[in-house]
Amino acid sequence: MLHLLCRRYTYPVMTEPALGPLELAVDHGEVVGLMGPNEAGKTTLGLVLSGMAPAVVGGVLDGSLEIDGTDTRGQPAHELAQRVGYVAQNPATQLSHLSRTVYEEVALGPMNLGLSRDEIVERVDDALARLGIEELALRDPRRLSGGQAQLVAIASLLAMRPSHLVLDEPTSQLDPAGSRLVRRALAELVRQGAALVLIEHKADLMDGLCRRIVVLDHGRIVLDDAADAVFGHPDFLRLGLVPPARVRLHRLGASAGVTLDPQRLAAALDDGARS
Amino acid sequence: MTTATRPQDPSPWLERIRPVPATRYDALNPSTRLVLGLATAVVDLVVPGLAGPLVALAVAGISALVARNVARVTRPALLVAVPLGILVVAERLLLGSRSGGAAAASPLDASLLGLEVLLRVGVLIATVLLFADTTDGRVLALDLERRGISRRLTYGTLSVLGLGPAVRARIAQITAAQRARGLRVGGGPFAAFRARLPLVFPTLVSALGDFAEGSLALESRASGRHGARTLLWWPPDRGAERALRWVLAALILAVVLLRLAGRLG
Repeated sequence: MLHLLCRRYTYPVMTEPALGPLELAVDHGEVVGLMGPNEAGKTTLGLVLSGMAPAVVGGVLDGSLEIDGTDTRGQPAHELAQRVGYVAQNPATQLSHLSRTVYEEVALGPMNLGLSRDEIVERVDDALARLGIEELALRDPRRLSGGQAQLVAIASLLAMRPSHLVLDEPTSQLDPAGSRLVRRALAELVRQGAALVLIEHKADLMDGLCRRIVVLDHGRIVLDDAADAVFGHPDFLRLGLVPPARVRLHRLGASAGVTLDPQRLAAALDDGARS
Repeated sequence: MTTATRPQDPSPWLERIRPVPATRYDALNPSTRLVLGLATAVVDLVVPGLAGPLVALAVAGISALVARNVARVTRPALLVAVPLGILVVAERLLLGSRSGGAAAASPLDASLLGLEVLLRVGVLIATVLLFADTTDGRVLALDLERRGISRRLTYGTLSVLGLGPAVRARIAQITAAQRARGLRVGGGPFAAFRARLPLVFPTLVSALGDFAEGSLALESRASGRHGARTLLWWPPDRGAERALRWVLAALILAVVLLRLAGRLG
């Protein structure tokens, strides 16, 4: 379980806090979608929730982050990384530029942990298979497209096998097929008990995966409820956020006097994305 | 410290992630190539007269031949070195001798000096290019790490080396975007340089931002962890190469010491 109590978090050199006051708890096996307009503080919250801020980024957190009941204060970044995996939104900066092949890139984290070769191979093969990128294994990471780099960055995170995950726009450069693979891999991790925080602009990825949506504005939580309740909340639209296609179609149908079966609608949208 | 055992590979990928050398030069351990390059450069620059550059030229030429890389290193080396050599000859003929006297140098002296400069600069450029062209920095870093060189140092060096190409690539991207919006970068090299100059600082700043984000990504993959790290493979190293490196290191030391002692003439 992740539990953040943040009275305020301030970046280095800044005087104004970027986040807080807020409190957020994410349970085992729970998927929380984090949304909000630009500059709402979503990425900052992701960094603080993963422990990367202040451990790596610096700054001052007035409050506490507990991972599975343990206070993370003073814990080194590499220990935090094994407990909460974090992937930033720009895939180009997520690759190490130290590896000759995608295989070695995905293996970098487990290699750094000093795991046995058998364990590393098992983890890397599994991560590549989960995201369907085995054919990239021998490619040079510097010559990947944005979408491929994003999948490799996520595979690198999966190979670390953290207990919990914070992903900042993990599908921003992916096509529908890639997004579906990521979604499937994440759903599998959640089934295994990981707490997952998904920072996204695209509500469609959240739809069906996140039962709970948290909306952030000016560094504070303004909505925190079940996904459908949030997507239907007037403040959601007021903040300029767009609900998923399923909800929009449902509303459109309702305004035209047509009742759409939500399950059949979701299945039809999924089929559409597949084709 | 790294795990130094090499068990049977448990995955077919492991065998395939090792680079396959295309030439006998590529098959050399990257540290051997580094020491060979250093020795060539030291002999080229430190041994006086034409002897140093000629010996260095022979070594660089054979290396380039074995690496099947002669054309790629020769063209840029000549492009820089020939004008410099001509400039030196002209300067000697027109402006006077090395001693600073008013009399111009004889055509033979001036030509020999021009040839010396041409060879020294050309061989140096060719040596650097040959090493850069044939040696993947990531493989060298792996080899150095296996030899006990700090991982942070090799990571840092690779990152700094990567900063230049990153800035260049970003400037090219921004220039293309600006061109599409009417920026004129034509009209000769000076105009192109002037058009790109304002982009250098902001591009460098944003590249440093990417650098910080990349450091975060590395930390989130336990790169800051101390202690044993497992390597999946490392470049092969033979006894003969180890001996060659020691001989070359001794040669570098001897040449530098003899030069400092004034025994090389």
